[in-house]
Amino acid sequence: MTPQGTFPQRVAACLADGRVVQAVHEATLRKVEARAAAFAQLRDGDRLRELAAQIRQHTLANLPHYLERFVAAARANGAQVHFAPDAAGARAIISGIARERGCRLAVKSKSMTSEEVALNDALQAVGVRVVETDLGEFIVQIDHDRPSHIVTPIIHKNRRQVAEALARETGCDYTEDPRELTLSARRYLREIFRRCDLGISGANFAVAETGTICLCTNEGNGRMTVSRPRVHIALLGIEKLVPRLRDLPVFLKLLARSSTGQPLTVYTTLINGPRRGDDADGPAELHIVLLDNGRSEILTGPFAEVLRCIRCGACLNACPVFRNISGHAYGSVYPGPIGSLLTPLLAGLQQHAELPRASSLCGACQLVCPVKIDIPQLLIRLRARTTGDQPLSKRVGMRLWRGLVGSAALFEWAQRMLRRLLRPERDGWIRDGWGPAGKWLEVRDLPPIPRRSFRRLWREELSNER
Amino acid sequence: MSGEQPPQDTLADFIGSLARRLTRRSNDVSLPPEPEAIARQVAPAPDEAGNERLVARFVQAATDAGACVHRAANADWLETLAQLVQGRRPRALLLPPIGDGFFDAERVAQLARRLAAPGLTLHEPGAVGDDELFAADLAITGVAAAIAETGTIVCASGPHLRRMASLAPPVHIAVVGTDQLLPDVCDCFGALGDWPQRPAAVSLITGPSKTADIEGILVTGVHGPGELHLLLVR
Repeated sequence: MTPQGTFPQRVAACLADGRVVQAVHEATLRKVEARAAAFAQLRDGDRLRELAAQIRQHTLANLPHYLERFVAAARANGAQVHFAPDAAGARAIISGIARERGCRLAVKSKSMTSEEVALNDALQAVGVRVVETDLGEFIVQIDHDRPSHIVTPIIHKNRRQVAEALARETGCDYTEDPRELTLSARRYLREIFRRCDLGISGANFAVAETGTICLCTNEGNGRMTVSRPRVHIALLGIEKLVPRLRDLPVFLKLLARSSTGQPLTVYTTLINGPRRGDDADGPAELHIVLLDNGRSEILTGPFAEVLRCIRCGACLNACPVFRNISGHAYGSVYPGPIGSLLTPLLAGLQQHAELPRASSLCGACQLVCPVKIDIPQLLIRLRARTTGDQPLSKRVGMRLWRGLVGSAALFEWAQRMLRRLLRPERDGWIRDGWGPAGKWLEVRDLPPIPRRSFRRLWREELSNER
Repeated sequence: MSGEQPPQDTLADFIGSLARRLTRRSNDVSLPPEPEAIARQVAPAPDEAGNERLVARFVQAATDAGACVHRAANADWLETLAQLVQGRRPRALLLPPIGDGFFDAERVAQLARRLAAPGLTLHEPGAVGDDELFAADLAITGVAAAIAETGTIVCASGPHLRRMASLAPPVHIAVVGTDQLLPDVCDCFGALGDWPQRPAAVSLITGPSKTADIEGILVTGVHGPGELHLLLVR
């Protein structure tokens, strides 16, 4: 189940589960390779990322204008557009619509935004049964678990756990074969799709010019969710806008490649409104709920860049920290590098001050971000906002550090002294130390220190070989 | 719930206040006027040779995405399609509606006549109920367009055009005329037109439904069709 406690405690719990660590390693490394292969096929992939960054930056800087256009266009299409200032507002609006329309059974396509506002419980409270239909989210729901990755929610589960959950919930025959498990889930959820009267989705993008919302999915449950029920509610953050229909291909080409290495997701669905009078099928009502919940605060501050995010998950896959501690350690809906920024900014810096520090600033995330968010820079700036809250010992330690790295002689002396403060274990690894070193090593392990420092090596041997 | 403003007011208020809070931002950049110049991966085909190139690209991309691509000349599309269908041994299938891309009234009639066989129920998509829809083994549709760059077919909603036809049955056979091929994803949105001509739902479909949620193992046919066949007709 989901680890509890402080961040270091959650990290330790996640690291202790060797099976999960290995599963997350394999899955994320596979995605990294897939992304690289997909980008290699792109003509001018880097310029495309630059273009995407520019379009998103422009949109954010002019968001009120584009919001106005989107709302007008969507309403002209026959959609109803609502505004939710915060999570409670979103819950109230959506459960209100469900109650007024007499909905009893809701199907959900995967939506991280709906997790952010904790929507499902609010709907259950007004007597609506909510069923997640994305395979991973369905397993998370029936196992009372939480997703550990924004794109592949059950990356932390093995087939046995999935098998037990499915057999328990659906009464199907027990099997551990992934294909059979998927078929069981398909059969069970089809019955739900046949009977549902409310569909709730997120949206990957919203086009201001035409009032269109765009869903990018792979399984088909997203299409069913927005086509089968008589009422469709789409919940999306205000930052999801792009200006024109012709801008959409830029993001479509980047999203799936960054996420899973595909040129496009299997289903890219553009919704232009509820069903038209003579349509053969489709929902009679389309409700679009635009969510603030802290985004406008971010937009008008120095971290606005973070709102460019298109939720591809590439930074999660690239991050060596995420690869080891996986999503549950972050304790939030949005894990990984982008989560280390979004969670404190949306949910409060005080409560989540450790997240921006859960990074070695290696920059792997920045290299893969399709909209070129400078994540390491933003992490540093976010850290700077909480330095005042850091313990005195750390603040003193950082001042000492500044002094040390400014002088080569002092630095070298400090290196020799440091060896005395560290306590290697039998295998040479250093997991503990005296005083401040011990505190620093609480969430870090150092590999065995070589006998000679590089400086000595250079002086004694290497410089002569030039 | 009393005292709540109507949705129009809260939204307008929010946008207004956001505009006021944003006036002093200096990090605006201009909107690139022609994103296609950089985003385009496949150039348009001005002639026959170019069209062959598009066809080849489409076949490759669609196959990579997991679809089965079949080819037929205009003279024998019916036979090829019939054999493809019969090879799947369906007991019930959805016929394409009239006006769905390749399928004008005459072709639908030809298809219905050719496929008629004892033990096989042919459903008109407009008239079929939920039970028949979910029990059908196979659906045949046309497409609104196809995209060479990614091996994608474009299916739109509309009168008689069941969204569920390309979604519910486990096998989807889409017939694509080579003249329906667009070079690049950048080209397909212009083709959609303006509202109210723009369809309520447009789906770009690239390959069969799939997931890798369980241990990263790829499984096709999750909620959508597990088999996608594309019959490319010259």
